[in-house]
This record gives sequence, C-alpha cells and structure tokens, in this order.
Amino acid sequence: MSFATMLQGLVKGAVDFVVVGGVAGSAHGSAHITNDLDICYDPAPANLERLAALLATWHAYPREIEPGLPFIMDVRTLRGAPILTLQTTEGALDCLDTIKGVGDWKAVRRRSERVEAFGVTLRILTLDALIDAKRATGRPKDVMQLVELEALRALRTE
Amino acid sequence: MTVAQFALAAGADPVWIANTRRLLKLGRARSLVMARRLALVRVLHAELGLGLVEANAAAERALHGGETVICTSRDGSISLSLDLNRFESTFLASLSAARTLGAPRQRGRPPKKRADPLEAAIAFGIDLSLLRWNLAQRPADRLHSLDANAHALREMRAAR
Repeated sequence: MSFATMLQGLVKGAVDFVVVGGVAGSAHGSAHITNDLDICYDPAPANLERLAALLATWHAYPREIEPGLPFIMDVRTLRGAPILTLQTTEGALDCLDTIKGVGDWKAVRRRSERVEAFGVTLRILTLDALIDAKRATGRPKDVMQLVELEALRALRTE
Repeated sequence: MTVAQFALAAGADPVWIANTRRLLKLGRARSLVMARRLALVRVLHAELGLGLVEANAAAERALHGGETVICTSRDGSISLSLDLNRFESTFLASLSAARTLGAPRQRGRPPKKRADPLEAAIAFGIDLSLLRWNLAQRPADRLHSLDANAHALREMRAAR
C-alpha cells in the first residue's frame, strides 16, 4: 500500500493517466504530505476498460461511505461519476476526468511532463498548470498549497 | 452538507438545484435523502427528457415505493425502467466525492494578497530552506520521500 505500488500498477496496467494534486506538487518540490493519489485519466473506451479492471482488482470502494453498500466498479461507473474518491487495497486514489482550471483530458495531457520514478515513467501536471488548478478550486486547504507552489515557481527562477 | 457538497452529491449545478426545489416546492433541507432524490430527478429530467413534475413523481415512487418502472407507453410496448443498484452505486460515488472533497465554508476575510510569492510564503509560515532543499533533489527522490513520509504518517495514525 503506497504511491509506488499504485503508480507502478497503473503504468503496468497500461492506463493512460496524468498525476495531478498533491503527489504532482511533491514531484515539483512541495513539502506538503498528501495521503491520496489524484489522477486525471484518458476517457477513451479502451483506457476506461483498463482502469476499471485495475480498480476492480484493487477492490475500490468510495471513501467516507459505510462499508457493505452496493457499489459496482466498472466502466459505467467511471462514465457516470466524473470524480471518484476511492479507497483501494493499494491506497487512496482519486480519479478525475477533468481538472478545474486546466480543462479536459486533452488539455491536462498537453500541460503535463514526463518524470521517472519508482522504476516507471509517469506524466505529472506541470507546475504552472497545478497552480492554475489550485487557484480554480479555491478551497481553504488549497490556499496554503497555492502559496507554496507559487513560492516554488519563484525559487526555480532564482 | 454545504451547498457545494449537496450539489456534488446530487450531481447537479447549485442553480439547477435551487430552481428545481422552488418549482417542485421541495423545501431547503440539504439532507442525504433529498440529495439522492434530486440526483434521480436530474437524470430523469436532464438526461432522459422527462418533465420535472413527472420526474419528481417517478423518483418518489422508485425511491420510496421501490417501483422501478418509471413510465410505460400507452400500448405497453415500451417502458423505461430504473436499475436501482446501478443508480445507488453512482450516487454513492458522488456522495463520497462530496464528503471527501466538498470544502467547508471559508470563514473570515481571505488572506491578504502579497505581490512577492516568497514574502507571501514566509507570511504563511512556509520554510523556504526546506523548499530550496527539495528543489535540489531529483523528482524521483522527492516522490520517494513523499511515499516514506506518507507511510510513516499512516503508521502513526494506526498506532493511536
């Protein structure tokens, strides 16, 4: 149960995704510790099949929901719920089809960069796009992260 | 639930919710039962084209009476039925997102905006030396550190 196993699983499962949120922030140098992995995924049917199959093998279930309620982890659920906040055997995973402040999958993919980590090659949201996303969300908890990310951008150019 | 959480759970825009509640005289309660009902009304109305009143009546029959046939053509040859398990599954996913991501209302004045991002970070109590140290690492090393720190935090929480 770790970011490493989740990211390796997603890459080995041939899922087309971009890491967004706190983990992407850490890759850019943020000191904030996050507990969940946020990804934006390609909504192409074949990719949805691969992602849904992987999530089913990881026994994905919605977080903050009493156990034992009817939840079906398949492609139709991915299509019907644009934001999935899941607990899996590998850890907490949020799956999004669009990112507020950045756009849909194509925009997210365009504003991402490659990173080598945990023995696999990943795509993470660029620092500028991450700042745009945090600014658009506007949640109180995002305010401090936004300040930190803007400081990182300034420090990079020092 | 806040207005934003309620809208996320119902899978609808807050303006649509406010208008629908006014038209259907559904009151202002932001309960789980109401979010579930409005989620179904929205699907029946916005995705399947039923009138609002008809969609509301069908949602009431389905969720409280267990009647899964939404409507049938006059000659009985065509009927629209609800897969209640599937609907509940999708609703749980939306409710989870509302509970996990829905932000509590921000209280007080927003923090003062500073022109210099480094000054703003210092004012927020962010340790710039830590950020400089992080920037000196490779992204892979930063992610390894995050994984180790998150693991340690989970262990500490579990031990409490």
